[in-house]
Amino acid sequence: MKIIDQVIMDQATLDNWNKKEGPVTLRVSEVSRMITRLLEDKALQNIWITGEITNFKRHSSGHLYFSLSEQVAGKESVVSCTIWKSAARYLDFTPDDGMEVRAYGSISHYEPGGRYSFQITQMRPSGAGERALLIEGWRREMAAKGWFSPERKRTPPKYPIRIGVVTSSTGAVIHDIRNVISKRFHAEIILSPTTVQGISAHEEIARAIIRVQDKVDVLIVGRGGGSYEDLFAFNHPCVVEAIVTCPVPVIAAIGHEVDITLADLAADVSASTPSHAAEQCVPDRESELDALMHMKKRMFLQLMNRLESAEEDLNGIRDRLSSPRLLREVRIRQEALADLTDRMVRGAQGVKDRAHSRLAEYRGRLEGRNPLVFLKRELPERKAFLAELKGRLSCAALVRLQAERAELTSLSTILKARGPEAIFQAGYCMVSSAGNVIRSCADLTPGETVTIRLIDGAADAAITQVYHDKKV
Amino acid sequence: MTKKYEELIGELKDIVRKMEDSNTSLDEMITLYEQGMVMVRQCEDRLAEAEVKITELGRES
Repeated sequence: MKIIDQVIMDQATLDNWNKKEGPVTLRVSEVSRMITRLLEDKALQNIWITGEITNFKRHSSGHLYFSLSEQVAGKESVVSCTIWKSAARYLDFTPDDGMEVRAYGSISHYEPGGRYSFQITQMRPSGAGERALLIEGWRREMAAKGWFSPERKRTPPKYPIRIGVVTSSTGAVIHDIRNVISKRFHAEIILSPTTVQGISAHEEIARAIIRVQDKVDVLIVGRGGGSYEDLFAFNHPCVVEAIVTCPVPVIAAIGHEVDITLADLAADVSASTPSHAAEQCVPDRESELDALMHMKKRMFLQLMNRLESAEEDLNGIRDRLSSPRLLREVRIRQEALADLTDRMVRGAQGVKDRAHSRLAEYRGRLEGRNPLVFLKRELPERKAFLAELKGRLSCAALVRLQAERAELTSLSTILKARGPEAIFQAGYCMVSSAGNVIRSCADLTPGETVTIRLIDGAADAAITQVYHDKKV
Repeated sequence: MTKKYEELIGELKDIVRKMEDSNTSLDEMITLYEQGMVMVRQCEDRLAEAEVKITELGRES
């Protein structure tokens, strides 16, 4: 009742006031005004609020709309906020989802919309948002494990037969995927349903992945667009690990194009939307039909070409088998044979001639060296030389002989004149003893036997007495 | 057991490759062409199957 006192009521309501027993019936505008009054309580005016920015939107008019949120003991609290363009101009940073901020303003009720919001006039960042920090920490750990490395990205099969889809069984995602795939290619979809947001969503998503992974050729993990908080489960390590360890390639399609979750980073392929994921999953029927048409054409052309070339070959052979052509061929070969024979004969003659001339040359050289011929040619000359030599020799001997003879005569004359013969002739004799010529009486001893040499002989004599001409 | 579409396409590609090989004889070529055309028809039939089957797994399994 205290509240009602403060409210300006319509006259009609006032008129009925207290006239009836039982619960009060109020008009919407009255309630709305009451709420406005309540929210304009001093406790909610000109206050500071700390929290994390989520669902941030910049309207084309320049106004900023977002939520300030906080999680306490697993329970989430959210306050909608507005910064009008006039105040937004003075912000010294660019607000974004995940930022932890301190904002100054007042709670205000928007009656035409039945909504309240915190109208902010000042706002400052107070460090990175708790969630952003958490995600950043996870991201670093996963990157260190190599979960995002391009080398581990697998290429999905071109023609999958069974496609697993992990998403909500009621959302638009499965509907979109089914539509796209049925238009493109024949395949079986196996839906592994899961909730995609909420406190334990991450565990459920991971379980849904593991449940379906052995039954399919490729897996789509999908969720439609949502706020930053809505997509939070797809950053959780247990979801990312399920994707990384999945035995078949995973295509992630989480949120809109601008939303990048850790699941997107770890998946083998990251698609911007679930429809896009479905397009990447199966080939397009039309392009496959085109390819088939193309192959059909290639086969046909190839066969035609081969047939044509076979026909050409046949014509060629027929042409070559015609009789004038054969005759011409024979003639050409005959001529070639004749030419060859000529060349052989000419060649043989040449060889013979060369052998003859070489033989003659050898014979000549052999003759030149025959000793008989050599002697025959030299003999007369040598004979003449010998005769001349003989003549010259006998002539010289004769001259020499005469000279020798003349010398001998003169020498014998001299010898006769000076030799002992003349002395012996004159009566001298020569006494010798034991072969020695005795030239002095002193060499003689009485009794000694000596030999006396005379002109015509010798005689032995004994010395009886020696007489010296003078006493010595 | 019917062949997978992927296997059919693979075999078809092999046939085209063999047909483009200049060493293939004419007889072989005709046989290959006939085989190829059968496969093209099978592939076209496979592509004409429009329905998409959806199986939903139970949550607790």
